[in-house]
Amino acid sequence: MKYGQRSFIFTFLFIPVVIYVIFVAIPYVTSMAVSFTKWRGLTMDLPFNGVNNFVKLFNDPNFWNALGHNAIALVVLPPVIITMALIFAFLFTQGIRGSGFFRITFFFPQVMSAIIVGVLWSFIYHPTLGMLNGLLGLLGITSLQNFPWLGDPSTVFGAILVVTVWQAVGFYMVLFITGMETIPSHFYEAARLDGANSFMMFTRITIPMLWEAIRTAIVFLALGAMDMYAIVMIMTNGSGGPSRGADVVPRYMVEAAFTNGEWGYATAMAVVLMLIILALSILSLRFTRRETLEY
Amino acid sequence: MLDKKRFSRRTFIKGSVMIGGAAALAACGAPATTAPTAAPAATSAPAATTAPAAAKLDLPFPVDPAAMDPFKLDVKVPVDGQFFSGGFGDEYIRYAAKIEEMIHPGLKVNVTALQKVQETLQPRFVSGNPPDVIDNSGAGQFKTVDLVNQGQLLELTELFEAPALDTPGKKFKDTLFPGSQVAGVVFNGKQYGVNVAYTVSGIWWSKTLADKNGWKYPATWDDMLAFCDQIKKGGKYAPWTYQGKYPYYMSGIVWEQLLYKAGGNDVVLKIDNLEPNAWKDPAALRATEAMYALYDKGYIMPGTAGLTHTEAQAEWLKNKAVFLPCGTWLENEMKTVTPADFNMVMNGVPGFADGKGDQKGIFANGGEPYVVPAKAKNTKGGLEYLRCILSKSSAKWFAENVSSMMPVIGATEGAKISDGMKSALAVVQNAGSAIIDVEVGNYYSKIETELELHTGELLTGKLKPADFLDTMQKVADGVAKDPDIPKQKHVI
Amino acid sequence: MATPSWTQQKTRVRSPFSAWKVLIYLILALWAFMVIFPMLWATVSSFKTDQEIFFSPWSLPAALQWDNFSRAWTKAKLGIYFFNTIMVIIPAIMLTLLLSSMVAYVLARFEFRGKQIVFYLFLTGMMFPIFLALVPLYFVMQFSGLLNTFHGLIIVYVAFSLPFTVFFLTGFFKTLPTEMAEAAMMDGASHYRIFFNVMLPLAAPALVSVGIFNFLGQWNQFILPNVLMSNVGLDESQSRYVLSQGLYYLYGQQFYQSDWSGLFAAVTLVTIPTLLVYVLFHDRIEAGLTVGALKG
Repeated sequence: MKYGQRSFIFTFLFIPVVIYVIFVAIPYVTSMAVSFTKWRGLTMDLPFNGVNNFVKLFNDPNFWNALGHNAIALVVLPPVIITMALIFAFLFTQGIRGSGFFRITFFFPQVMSAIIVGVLWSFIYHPTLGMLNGLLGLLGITSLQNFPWLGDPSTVFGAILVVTVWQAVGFYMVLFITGMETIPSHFYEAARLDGANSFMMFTRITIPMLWEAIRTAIVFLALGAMDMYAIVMIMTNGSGGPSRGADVVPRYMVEAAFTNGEWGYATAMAVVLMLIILALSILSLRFTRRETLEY
Repeated sequence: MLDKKRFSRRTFIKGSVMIGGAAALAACGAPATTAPTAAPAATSAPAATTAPAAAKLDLPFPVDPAAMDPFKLDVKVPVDGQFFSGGFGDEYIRYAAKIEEMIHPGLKVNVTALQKVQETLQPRFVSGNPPDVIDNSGAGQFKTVDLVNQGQLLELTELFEAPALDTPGKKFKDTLFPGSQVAGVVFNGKQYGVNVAYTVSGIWWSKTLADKNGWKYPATWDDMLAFCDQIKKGGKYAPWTYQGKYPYYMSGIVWEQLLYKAGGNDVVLKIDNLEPNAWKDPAALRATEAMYALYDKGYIMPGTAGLTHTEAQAEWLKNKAVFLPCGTWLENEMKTVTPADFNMVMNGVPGFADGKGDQKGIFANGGEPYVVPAKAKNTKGGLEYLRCILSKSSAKWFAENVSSMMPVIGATEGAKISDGMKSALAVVQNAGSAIIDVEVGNYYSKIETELELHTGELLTGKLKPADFLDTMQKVADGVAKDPDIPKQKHVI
Repeated sequence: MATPSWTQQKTRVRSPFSAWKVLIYLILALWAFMVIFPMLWATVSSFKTDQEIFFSPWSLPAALQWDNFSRAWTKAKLGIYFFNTIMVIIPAIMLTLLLSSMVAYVLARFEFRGKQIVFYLFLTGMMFPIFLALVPLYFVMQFSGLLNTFHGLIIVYVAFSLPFTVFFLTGFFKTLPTEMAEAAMMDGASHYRIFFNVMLPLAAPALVSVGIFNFLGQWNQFILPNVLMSNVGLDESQSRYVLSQGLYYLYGQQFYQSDWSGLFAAVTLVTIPTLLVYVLFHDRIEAGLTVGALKG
């Protein structure tokens, strides 16, 4: 029995791990080694550079600026998106008509092509034609007329975070709804007999039962917050924003590698970012660990 | 130095297509049939003799026996060409490949069209197996200077000294527009690439709008500011707009030309060669203050900083603003958006009555750099390809089918040129030999990046001119001190 | 299934016309508007001329420009690329789901030495930007003769989808009840049987969810095919570009010659199948939930 189990584990892990190691792990490990070199990206010439790349990184204000934006995203995105997604998911349990329609609709931004998201929101934030400034005008806020939301260092990152929330909420909502619908209804029936209202049932039953999904969401969103590459590239047209006002580490990494040819340095950035993320995910997994409810 | 490469450096940046015409349509379906392309049909049949192919291609040029095969090609080795395909499409690339195949019966020239040149080709360089010729353009191109610094590019003297393909009695180098083969392709005095497209960059306005209001284009920058004041007071239009999210349209087109006009080549060379305190030169301050005045006096259209290039240019086409900096690709880029009676024309950047540079000077140079990797298997095939693509025949095809210009002398005679290009050529004509060449951004990516960034801050009032120059001086000093950045020497 | 979900039961209990309901609908409608309006805008824009898009972005087209679509179709070779994409994505997703659920099941349900190592091995894979792996990956592919092949691309898609999928499914397998597996074990079923006949069906809803996620990721994947299929150019009649590459190619060209209306048409054409797939899979989720309901 015990032996059978071991061979079973081995069989199940073997092929996936081999594929993963060859096509993902080896390339990444190889590139990690590059972080200790001055590789310039075009030849096999890899001059050893010790920890100099890391020292340089530590003293590079642009790196800290970029990391700071990732940190803001990390603090803002998970709570905002999870709260909104939970609220929406909760509303769906209130017996509404057309829930199928709403669910598909809400999910859709996740499916939209990044190109369209970029062009679209660029028009929404357009200083003169944009919906946002038009709306503010209608509300009588004239001081912001023609305000360039994406052209001002103080607003550009906030504007991008809004787009991120808009894109992500639907996905997590669906995740939570899926989770909620697996919660046995007799839990709620029992609670209702005990006189619980919707809100109490939500906090006492739904959230604990959903904890595993919420935890997953926290980790994904934390990972996403440390990335932000695609959306920042699109919304700032590749520059990281005016005065680098929306720069994030992965975009700055691309600048170092592709624009400046400093591949060793860029790789060092990736390694540091990876260590930060690894620490974060271990922390968030530990921190959110709870007894899973068995039923 | 305003080559197209600078304008297409990044993922989302627009590049250097020039000039209106059929480019967009030719690339897209229905109208493509009208393009007399020698498309891929014959590539699969090396047996196809020159005669029918020539008839189909209309290869009208006689080739001197001496000019037939200067590089002694081995026709058994195919040519591997990897080409960025942007607004010019890729038919002109194939046309040149056909010419090469016809001149060398039995030779196969493989054409691959790409986006994202660097991402795609980097592994091939690392593995020591680069292609034989590359159109290194567009978003995601290699920084040419990186390729040069790492010994990856073939020096092109052999090509430049070779006989021209279809201009009898001339060397290849003598068939190209003077000044067109410098920006972005010459490093430390050596030729590492050819610019296949010709671009002029200046300040645009609507002739229709100007005529309607009886405006005359300002002769000096002081006149420009006075004129802007008049427009602003009129209240109907904003005087200026620019491609807000890409401030380098301002640094590259306006500031650099002002710099030259204020201080001449002296100051340009000081900056290009990273001399101490180059950015503190009085001419640099003068140019910077001149440009800053546009912001300071409120001449820039409100909201400009939040616009992409297309959005800003669209606002300009709506006559929301009078002036816009751009290169000659503007016409083609905005073709489908331009109102029929807009009539866009290009002017030079107005200078200073007492400036040290030639006040008629203009950015008129090449874009769309093609290179031959030094470690390619068939460098001769690559060189020959360059000779073919910059032949008169190819340039004529280009002018007629892509409505753009190659920097090949005499190739566009009789070809229909757009009004915008005509206006630009008039500026070049007027400039004579005063072709401005600022290379610092081509030499050092970091300076290019920071110059753009701080120009954006200057034009939104986040930096004052003196602080701008202080900051840039620090950046330049940092590059000068960095032993890992190979240094370039600009000589004029 | 026989057990109605509690949502439906509640509908009968509560009055549908309370102020609370009105508020709910208001909130939902507001958000739906925020989503639908942009979608609609993109679709409407694909019927406009370029001038209309930039001069009057919020108005309706004066005349429907069907030509945008035919241009997009031919220029972006959407037909071929669409087919290529399907050829790659379907097997890639199937394999991803199979392999990932095997790993996830083992990680979730068994104790063995090195378990943490395997878990973090996969977890770290989510944390590196892909472009850093490109050059070494290119060598791996070249060495194994997989460059410029569809099956090579499939394997790479699978490899890069594993971390996320494993992570997602591990969490899910942990929440599944153990009784059924234990009962099957009592009946003498092997681990393999339990996995394929009991656990996998139970995991159906999660597989569908993560399958959708992978579908989206792989559908939009651009960097990998661009490098690994790069020697295959647009000139071949049987081009091997996948849709994202084709679209990107088209998008790249926008910066040199404006054909925004054509781009919007292409994006609309590409988005519709994505939406359809989601709508279809959405039904599957509902079906999967009845499986889940069995245990309740």
